[in-house]
Amino acid sequence: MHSILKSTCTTFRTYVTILQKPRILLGLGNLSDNPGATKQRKRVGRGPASGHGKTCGRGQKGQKARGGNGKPRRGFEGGQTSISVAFPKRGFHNRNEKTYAPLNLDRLQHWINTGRIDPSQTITMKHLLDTRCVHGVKDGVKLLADGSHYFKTPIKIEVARASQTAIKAIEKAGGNITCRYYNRLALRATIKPEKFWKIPKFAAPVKAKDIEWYSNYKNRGYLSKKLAGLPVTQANAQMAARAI
Amino acid sequence: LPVYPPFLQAWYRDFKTNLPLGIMDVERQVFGAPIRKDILQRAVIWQRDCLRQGTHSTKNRSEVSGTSKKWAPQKGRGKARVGSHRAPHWRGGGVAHGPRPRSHDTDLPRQVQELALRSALATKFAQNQLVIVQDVHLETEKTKDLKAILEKNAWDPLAKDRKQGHSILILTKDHKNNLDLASRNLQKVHALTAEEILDAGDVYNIMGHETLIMDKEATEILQTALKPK
Repeated sequence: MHSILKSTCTTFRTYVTILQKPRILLGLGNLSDNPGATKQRKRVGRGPASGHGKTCGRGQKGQKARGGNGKPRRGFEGGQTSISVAFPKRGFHNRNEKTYAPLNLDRLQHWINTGRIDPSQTITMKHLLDTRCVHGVKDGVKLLADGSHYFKTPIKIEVARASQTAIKAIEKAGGNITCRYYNRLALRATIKPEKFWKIPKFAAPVKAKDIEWYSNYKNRGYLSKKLAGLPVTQANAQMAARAI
Repeated sequence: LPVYPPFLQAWYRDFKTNLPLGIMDVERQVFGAPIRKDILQRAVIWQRDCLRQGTHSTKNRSEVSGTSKKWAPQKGRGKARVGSHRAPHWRGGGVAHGPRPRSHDTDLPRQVQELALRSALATKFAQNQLVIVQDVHLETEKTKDLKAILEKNAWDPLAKDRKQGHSILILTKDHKNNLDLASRNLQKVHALTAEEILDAGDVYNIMGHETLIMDKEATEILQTALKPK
C-alpha cells in the first residue's frame, strides 16, 4: 500500500472529470513541488568544487574585486561625462498635446495663384494636403497670417484652428473661415475618405477648453451661435442644427 | 457547462458504532477536486512558515560586550594587524551576518489556499481516509470513553501494525466541550472546527492526520465555503 519499492513518482495528469486515486498514499511525507519550481541560490566562497570558490567570480585583484561596490558611485563612467550628466531629464511628455501643421496665407495665396487650389470650392484640409500646400496634417491645420497683406482672394476655408490676424485677413478679402474640432477619427475621415465605407459622424469636443474655444465666435468656432454662413459639409450641418 | 455530475456519493456513518447510516451527496468540485501535491506542498510550507516564531538572535561585533580600542599596535609586532577584540574572526567575537529576530511569514494567493484545501479534502476522500459521521456526540467527557470508541471502530485498517494509534482529526461545526476534554490527553487525536480550518487554510492538519472524521454540518460548511465561484 505504501511500499517505497514501487516508483515514488506520484505525478499524474489531473482532470476535473476523472477521479484519480494517488498510486502512493499521499501524506505530509511525500509532498513536493513541481520540478523546476525552485532553484538553489548561488553561494560563493564555499570551496573549489562549487565552481564559485576562492575569488567568488570576481577574477584577480583590481578595483572591481574589492569589497563594497567596486566603483566610486553609481553611473560613474571612469571620468567620462556620464550619460545622466550629458543628457539630463527635462520636463515631461504631454500625451494629450496637439500640434497643428502651420499654413501661412502667403503660401495659400501662391497656391491659388498657380491654380493648384480652386478658390471657388470650399477649401478643406484634404485639399491642402493633396495639393501639398501642407506636407502633413498632424492634429489639424492652423491657418497663420504671415504675408497676409498679399492675400486678396475671397475663399471659403475650413481648418482646425486659425490665428486672429488670419481671420481678419480672410474676411477683409471677402472670404469665410470656420474652425472645426477634429479628433483622430474625424481627421482621418476628412483627409482619407476612401478608407471609409461610410463617413462617420464627427464627434463634438470633449474637453472644456476645446468646447470653449470652438464656441467662441472670435475664433470663428463652428459651435458658436453667431456663425451664419457655414460651409456646407455633412458633419457641419448636424453641428449647426444643434448649435442654432 | 459541466459534463460530469456535480455530486459524488459518500457514506455517512454513526460515530459510536461506525455503521453506515446512508449515502449523502458531496460536492464534486470540493471532494473530487484535482489532487495537486505541488499545491499541497506550497500550502503546507506557507502555513508552517507563518507558524515560525522567528525569535532567533545573535550579537554582532558592535553588540558583543567589549571595548573598541585597537588591540595591538599596527606595526612592529611581527604578527597580523588587529583592530577590534570582538571582530568575527576572534574567539569571543561577534557573529557576522547572524540570525536576527524576524517574521518568516509569506503570502500565498487566496485562491491557491482554497485550491489547496479542496485538494487536501479530495486526497482524503480518494484515499478512503475520510469518514463522514452523522453527529459527534459524547455522553461524558471521559477520555477512556472516546478511546474505546476510536479503537473499536478502527478507522485505520493498519492500526494493528502500528506501535501507537493512528492520528485522527475530528471536525465539527462548533466546539463540543465533551469532545475537547476527552481528546485533550490523547496525543494523536485532535478536535477542530470547520471554521478554524477555513480561516487558517489549514492543509497541514488535514494532511498530517491519517483519518479525518467530519460530521455532516462541518461537511456542509466546508463545501459551501470552498466551492469555486
